[in-house]
Amino acid sequence: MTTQREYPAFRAERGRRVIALWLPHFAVERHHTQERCDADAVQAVATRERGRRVIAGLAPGVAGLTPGMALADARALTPDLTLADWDPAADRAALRDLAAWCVRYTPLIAFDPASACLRDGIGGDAALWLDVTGASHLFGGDWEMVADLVNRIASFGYTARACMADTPGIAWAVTRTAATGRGDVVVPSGAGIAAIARLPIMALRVPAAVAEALARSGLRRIGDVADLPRAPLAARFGPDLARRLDQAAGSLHEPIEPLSPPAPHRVRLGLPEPIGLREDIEHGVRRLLERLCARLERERAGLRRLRVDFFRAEGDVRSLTIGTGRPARDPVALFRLLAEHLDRLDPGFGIDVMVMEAERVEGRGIAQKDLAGPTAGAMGEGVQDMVDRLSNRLGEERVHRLEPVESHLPERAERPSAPATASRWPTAPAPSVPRPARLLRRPEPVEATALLPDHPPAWFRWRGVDYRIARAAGPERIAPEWWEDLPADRRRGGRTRDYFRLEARDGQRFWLYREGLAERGEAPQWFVHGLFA
Amino acid sequence: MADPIHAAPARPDRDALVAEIRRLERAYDTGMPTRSAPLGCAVLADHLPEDGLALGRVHELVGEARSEVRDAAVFGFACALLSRFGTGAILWCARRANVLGGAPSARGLASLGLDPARVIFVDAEEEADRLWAMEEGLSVPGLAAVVAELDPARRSEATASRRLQLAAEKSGVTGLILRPRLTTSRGVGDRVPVAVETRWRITAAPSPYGPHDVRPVWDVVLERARRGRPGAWRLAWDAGSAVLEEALPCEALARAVPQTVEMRQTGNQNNEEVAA
Repeated sequence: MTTQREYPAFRAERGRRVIALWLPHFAVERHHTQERCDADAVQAVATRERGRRVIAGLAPGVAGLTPGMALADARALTPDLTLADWDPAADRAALRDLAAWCVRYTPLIAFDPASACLRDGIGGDAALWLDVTGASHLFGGDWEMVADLVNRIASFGYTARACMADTPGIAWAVTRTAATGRGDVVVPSGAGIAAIARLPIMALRVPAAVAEALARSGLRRIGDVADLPRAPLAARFGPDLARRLDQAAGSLHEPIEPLSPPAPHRVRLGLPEPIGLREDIEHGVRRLLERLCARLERERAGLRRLRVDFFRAEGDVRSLTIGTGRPARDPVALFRLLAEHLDRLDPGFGIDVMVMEAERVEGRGIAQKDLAGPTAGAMGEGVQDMVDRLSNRLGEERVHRLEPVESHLPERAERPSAPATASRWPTAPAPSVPRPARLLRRPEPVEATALLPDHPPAWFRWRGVDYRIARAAGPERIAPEWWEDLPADRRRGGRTRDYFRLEARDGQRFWLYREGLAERGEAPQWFVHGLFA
Repeated sequence: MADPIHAAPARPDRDALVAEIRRLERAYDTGMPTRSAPLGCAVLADHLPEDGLALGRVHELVGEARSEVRDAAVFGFACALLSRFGTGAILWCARRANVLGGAPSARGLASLGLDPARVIFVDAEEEADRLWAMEEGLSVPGLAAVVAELDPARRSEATASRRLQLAAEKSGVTGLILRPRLTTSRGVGDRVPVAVETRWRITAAPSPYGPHDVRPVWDVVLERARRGRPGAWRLAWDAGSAVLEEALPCEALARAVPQTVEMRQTGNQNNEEVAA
């Protein structure tokens, strides 16, 4: 069941159009398409229910059998029945792909929880809701849209029935029960519940027990109950019947919970013919970008993340995503970022729909002036675009600045930060306490000899090379940050360090430290931590 | 006998010749007037055209052979140059995970007189990516400079360096290429014709100053300079006043200042050295 939110009756929109899409033989046909076997290779899928094998789903045109029938009975009727095991997980995945594909019609798509694979029940069918309010003109009209949907799904190898109506209730009822041979039905707008008056009560999605009880009272068709007063109906047959009737009539809103919330910044380009040439795709992307950016321009906003979905003629979707360091709405710059990725796009047999969506949109007002004057290294427009190009090609984490961290320990005193945030470093360097130009990731232990325990080393060996020290300055004592709660393996780094600047005879300059205090009887451990220029 | 035909042609004056040579040399120029950053060092200015390092060009700083440990000197000299290139942002295309030589440290940059907030780092493992990033950076006029740490020069790189040079000329952004020196079995092999404006070789040098003087000292060799003269100096970089100056040679210092044994100086070692 969908999550039922009781909306007041006035919430039922005028002009709402919903398509119910039903794939009655989904389980078997999914098996056929994915295993790439002949359409009659498997006639049914079977599963185990309460210890016995039963038919879970049937192929179209298998006469005399029904889903839920015990396998033994089925075999008795049709001895040469070909079978496969039902795989509800694969069905769910395929249904999700199909729902993603349906985004070409509307972003508001929901699973019908009555689908067999979703409730893990017998039936082998699957169903989707599409809220297509205000979208059918893009396809030339209601009939054309439904026909297009059914035909395209048929081309993927699925039997489909679809009905467009004002309410989900009517659409659902018609797809399941309409006697017409056609798979595509449109209930004209404003037809109301009268359109399904001749259909059986079961088409209202009421529990079987309610339908039986109604049948005992001689109420077999929807028209028999549609005009009855709701209160006695609810009192006698439970609230479901009354609610379903109101929902079908449109006086009670039946929400469709879309799989993904629609992004408000979304533009779509439908193509009369599938395109595959790089120039054509670029042209389409440019047109979409212009439309999207014009819209952002009006809203004084910019996008931080952009996704483009390319719907391929094969029936699947390829997506590209780019990010920008700062809200952007310049179509030329955004196109440059996208063009990087278009090389990797495989158009397959052609792309027939492109959908572009700004996944993250941020306001981009007037840049605030810095009270303390312009920040050093603040980025001009061109620099920001360059940073975006670099991070889109090499990865966002590869492009960074360094920002200061309040810590005495040199290895923790700075960290990478986003390039858009120019942090403020103390401008005047303190020349009395120089820091090495390059800092080793982690201090490396060295073998060193000092003349006295608290003297700088006169000699040390690092990575197999001996260095004799000609010049030394220090110590600079860096105390452990005892207030920091270090994990046990890092505690060792919490000992006092005495740093020395050393210069070898040939001029190489190092930053070494002695760990711990120089105490009698303990051989001091020396580490090299950095390299001076 | 005055034969007007065989008379010596009129000698073009020197200035005209120089101008002609300049014109030929700069035939590829995009027309942008060459600006230069003065290095604040009189001895260098004599060797460089327009008394400074040409902006909007690519310069190459070569370190020592195959030693990331020793590249810190090149790094320091690059920072010294960069701090004289205005105040705009700098793109630094660094070798990723340069474990042996350590990572650039922001406080170290500050100690060398370069504001770390100006630097945008790009880490890339592949040299091709670093070259690409450098070319991207060189096409953005909003940057002050682009630095790339590259591998030793190879023959195939002549084209790449030419592209970089053209990009730099077009945008006016200065490029610095930092690379270790290539040594092969046939000796030092960095004679690859790379299209750069100047090539410098930097090695760390012993400081003639007292042990608490923080100025780095380098042996700087200007190996080639377009429209300039090669030369070699021992230079000290004073980050506080942003001045490169000639370091006093050790011998001169030894004569001028009596040997003082500081408490922290390893006096015994020095004495041994003198005795040897």
